[in-house]
Amino acid sequence: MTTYIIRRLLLMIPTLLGMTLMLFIIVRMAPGLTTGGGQFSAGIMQSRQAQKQEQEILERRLHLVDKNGHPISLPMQYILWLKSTCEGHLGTSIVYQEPVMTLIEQRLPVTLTINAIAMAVIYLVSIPGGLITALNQGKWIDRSYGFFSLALYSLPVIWLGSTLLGFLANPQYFNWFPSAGLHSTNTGNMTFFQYIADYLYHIVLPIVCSVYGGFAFLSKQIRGSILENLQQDYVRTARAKGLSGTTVLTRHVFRNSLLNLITLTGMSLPGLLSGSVIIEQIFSINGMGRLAYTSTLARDLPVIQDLALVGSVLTLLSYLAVDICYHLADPRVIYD
Amino acid sequence: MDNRFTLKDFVFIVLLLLIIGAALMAMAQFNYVNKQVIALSRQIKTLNAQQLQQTQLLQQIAQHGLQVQPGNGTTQAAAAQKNIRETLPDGTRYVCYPNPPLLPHNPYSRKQYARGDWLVENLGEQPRTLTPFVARDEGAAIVQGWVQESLLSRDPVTLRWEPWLARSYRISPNGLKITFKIRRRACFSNGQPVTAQDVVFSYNTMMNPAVDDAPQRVYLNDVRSCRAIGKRTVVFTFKQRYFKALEVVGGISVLPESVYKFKKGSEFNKRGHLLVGSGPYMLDKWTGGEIVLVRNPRYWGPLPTFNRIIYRFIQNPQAALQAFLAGQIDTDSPQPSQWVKYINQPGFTKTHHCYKFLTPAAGYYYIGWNLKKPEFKDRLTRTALCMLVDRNAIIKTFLHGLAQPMTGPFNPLSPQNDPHIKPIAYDPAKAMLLLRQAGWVMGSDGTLHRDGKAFKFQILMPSRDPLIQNICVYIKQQFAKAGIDMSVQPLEFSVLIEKIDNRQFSAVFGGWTGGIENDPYQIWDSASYADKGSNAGDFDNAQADKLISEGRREMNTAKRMAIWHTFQAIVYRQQPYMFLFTPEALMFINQRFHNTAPVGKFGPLEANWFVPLKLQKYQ
Repeated sequence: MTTYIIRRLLLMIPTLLGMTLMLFIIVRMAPGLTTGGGQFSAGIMQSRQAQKQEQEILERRLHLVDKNGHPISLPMQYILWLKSTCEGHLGTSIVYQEPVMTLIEQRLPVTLTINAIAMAVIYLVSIPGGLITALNQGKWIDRSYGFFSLALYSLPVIWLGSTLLGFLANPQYFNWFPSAGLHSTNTGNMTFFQYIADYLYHIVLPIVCSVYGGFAFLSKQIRGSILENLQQDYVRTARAKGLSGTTVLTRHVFRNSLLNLITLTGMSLPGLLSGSVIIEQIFSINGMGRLAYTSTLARDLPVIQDLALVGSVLTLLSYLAVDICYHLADPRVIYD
Repeated sequence: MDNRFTLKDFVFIVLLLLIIGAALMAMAQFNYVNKQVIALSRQIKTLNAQQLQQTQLLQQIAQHGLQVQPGNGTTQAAAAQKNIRETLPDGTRYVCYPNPPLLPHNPYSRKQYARGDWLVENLGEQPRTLTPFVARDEGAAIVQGWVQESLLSRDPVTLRWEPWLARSYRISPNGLKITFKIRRRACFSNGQPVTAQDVVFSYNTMMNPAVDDAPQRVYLNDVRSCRAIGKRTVVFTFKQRYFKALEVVGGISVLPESVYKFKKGSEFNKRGHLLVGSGPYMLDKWTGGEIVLVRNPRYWGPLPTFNRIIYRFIQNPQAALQAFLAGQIDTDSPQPSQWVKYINQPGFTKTHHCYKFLTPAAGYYYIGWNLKKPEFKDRLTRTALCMLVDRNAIIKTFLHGLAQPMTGPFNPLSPQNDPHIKPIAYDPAKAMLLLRQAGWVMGSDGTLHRDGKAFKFQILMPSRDPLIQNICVYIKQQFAKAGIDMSVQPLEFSVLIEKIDNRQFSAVFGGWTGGIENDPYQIWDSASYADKGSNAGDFDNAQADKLISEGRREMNTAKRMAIWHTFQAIVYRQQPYMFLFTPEALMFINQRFHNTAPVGKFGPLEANWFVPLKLQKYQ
């Protein structure tokens, strides 16, 4: 196993290089690169001299030109970026003038909290849902759960978010929740628990928007896995031994069915760190999704590249973690 | 499988319980500490309120023409001092305001006036940085406006520049030297006096090439020098006359050198959360959800009304309006459709203040033609295109009547604008005549032709704006009736800018921000076409260039306005743009605020608002 882990870690290096190179090329070849998302020019009364100076500064910061103004070739740009990344300099945002890591540190807790809670809710609902529907296969409870979960899955987030906002956060209808942000205005006078309660109150609607689409997929996976395991010989053997249905289900079938969850959980780990642009936009939350979105529009290359790098690393590490967890959960799984 | 509960499981559970217990204890400890902090902050607020009362008393004494001698408590009468605005015999313009000017319609003499409460507003997008000179967005400018001040301020009614941090200024007869004298009592929020050296530092910071403020620096290109004479006198000299000279140097935000000094420009650029000045408010905190400003207890000018000003970042217009209706924010800038919906609701205008107004700073929308393209090279065709579009119908349909048509590049409220020039009327019949005169002939395919080419072109527009998209589709239909084939190409904004910079367009839907008096050089001078300048359509008119050059050097306001009016007439005749409209600003204000009516040409001024004691919501 140790050899396998070391081999996988070493294989991550060329994989990362390939992923970053591909992203680098795509981003650098995108049109509108040196207009900085238009933040330097049109719509604002300013002279061409100012625009030119800013464009020159931008080109130097993006390593498009050297100190003397000579263009740097694309391969060299990549090497320069790789060099600074390996040295630990993740770059400074052109738009915010702050280190990329600072921006991530500011926004990541928000996104992480919402996504972690959403993930927990999805699992808490989907696992029992999948179990119940598997045990009642073909009955009305199975069909209706499947229907509603797929119906929810089909609803676009943008529609549901706007509808929830328009009805549940609207004083003219049901003013049950706040319409924007993560905190009330006067949090300075709140105790710690009041602050937490206020925060939870504000994230109810964003979490509802995050979770509703996740029930269908996960519960169907668990349902399928349980049904598959119920057909296995060991279940017949366990019943033949005289074990009760509950014991067979909880000690044998359910635990074996959860192996699929390891894969799904591992694959969803990188998603914990990437926010939803639509949800953050609707509810005015300053999270990772908005950071990625505004950086893309503004062609803030350091942020785009570094977010992609962080995402790539986490994806690869989570896949490795899944493989390790698989081995721990089922020692029969051996990697060469 | 062995499922016995072993020692390992026991240790694991105990550890887990210990961790949960530790977390709960930590939370309780935070809660306890928070309560102590809240109690402390209440005591601080009480002390601040006492200090405020003392400062109010001192101000009231000063308003009666008396001065308190520090130390011995005696008073002596001060001579009544009037504002001076005169031109001396040698041609020097001299303006002196012994006391800082009060805003027109200020609330201080009103019976119900009371200090206190908070003002909570929505900035929309979070500012990217608050660094002075470096910040570009409107939100940052709004926040900075409360914390930092400049030597001059603009009267919203007369639009004249009046001494603010400066007590007086003198402009030499040739317009090449401006001398400011700073008020003795002006001080920063840290208690340090505002000195001439701070002004020089601020100017030098702006001129530092490593500081990321190129858009503002170029306006200082005509400044030859800025030097301090003594503690309170600053002299600016200029290389040549420029009509905006006073505005440019008088509008520099004065930074405290002791706080902002730096070795490298990049150091200055990165201090995004540092905002210190002499203004009525101080930056308290900036989190992901809001910016909080607190009253500056050492403010040297008229004491500000609100205890706090809070700016939240709600980008979604629907969410912002709902937050306003729920009382979470105190003002909202509704969309035109929202305005129409709520204004027409019974009782809404009685429970909320609703204002719509034009401001000189409002920009305008236009369609720019590429004059190098054969289809747009002649004036007759461009004028005809303007006549084919019913701009009043656009304003009525898509903006619910909440805009005004433009006749040229200057805002209707600005003195630069010639009010005698009327918008080109919608007249399709006359337009067809003009097109015929220009040599266009209807082809068998139903499209106009000239020199063997069909009148067919593409208009570029920003993709994320449904209003612009609707307008373009409407215009397309209008042109189609006349035999002109216009296709609409939405583009992402940065790509659109790139196309404009590279002159890869036939027509483009754009917009410019405005000002009270703009320098037309950037957009309209023929020299601004080259090198990706803003004159993207290549408007090249020798007479217009001459007028721009003359206007920029004319220091007499009346003469200069006459030059701009003549320039506007040329642009109007030539129609390098189809000038569309300037939108009205819309505002809903919570009813507990009083004295909110628009002032002069600036709209409602928050500095004039107050909340009577009985209606105050926040402490």
